[in-house]
Amino acid sequence: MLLPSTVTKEPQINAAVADVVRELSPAVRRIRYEIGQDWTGEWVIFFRVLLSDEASKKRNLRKIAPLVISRMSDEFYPLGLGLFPHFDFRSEAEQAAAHEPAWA
Amino acid sequence: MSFADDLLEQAYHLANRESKKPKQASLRRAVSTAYYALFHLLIDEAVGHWSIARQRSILARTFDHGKMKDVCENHVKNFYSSGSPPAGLRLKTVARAFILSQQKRHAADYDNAVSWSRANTIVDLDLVSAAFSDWRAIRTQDAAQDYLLTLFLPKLPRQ
Repeated sequence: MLLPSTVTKEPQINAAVADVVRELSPAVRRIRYEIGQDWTGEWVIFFRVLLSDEASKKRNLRKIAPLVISRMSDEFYPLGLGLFPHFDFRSEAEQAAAHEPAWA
Repeated sequence: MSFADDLLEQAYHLANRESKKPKQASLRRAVSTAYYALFHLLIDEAVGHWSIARQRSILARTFDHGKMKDVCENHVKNFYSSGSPPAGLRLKTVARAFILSQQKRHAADYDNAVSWSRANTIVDLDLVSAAFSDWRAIRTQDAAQDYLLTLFLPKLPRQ
């Protein structure tokens, strides 16, 4: 479900995502997002970040994940959506096993 | 070590248990414990200013998770809307880590549909660990002390 104010800025969100994916490729394969409510009922944006298997190795993940969070936040906030971003990470191998459409 | 440090250490201990196949219970408790480590770091710092030691634990219980999240969100939004001043970078990182770890804690404690991996759990713990470092680098600054006050006050007085 998208909030009305978010719908109008969907192209900007997509552009921000594309920028970060381009910058952090090949470690970051793709980023999907979804608008939803957090535990307090507030609207937030959940980013699902698919990483390469190499980037998902423990020592690499500890470097790339904070970078993704930082870069996405820097790109996202200036859009002024009033939504707080949250992040989940998954490797390509994990997604291949899980087959979750939301991550595809 | 402080209670907050002990909690963070315990979170890593839980996350690294069962070397072959970590139990979901261990990973979930690790994520939840890491959030509480940051929560206690901030409230212990805040109530530490209260001069009557025996009243500090009472004061600590008045902190509200939801309100603290709102304060942190406003702080992060203000950081970006004011042009991302470099001087505010560390405090913004602390506030952001609080929000992110609180959301993870909620998922870890209540959302059984989520399956946690050790690697992702360590990422969440690292965010909290980085927030500890950032907080300790700025804790005596006016902006950090003002931030603590906003976490506690029901609402800020009009300027």
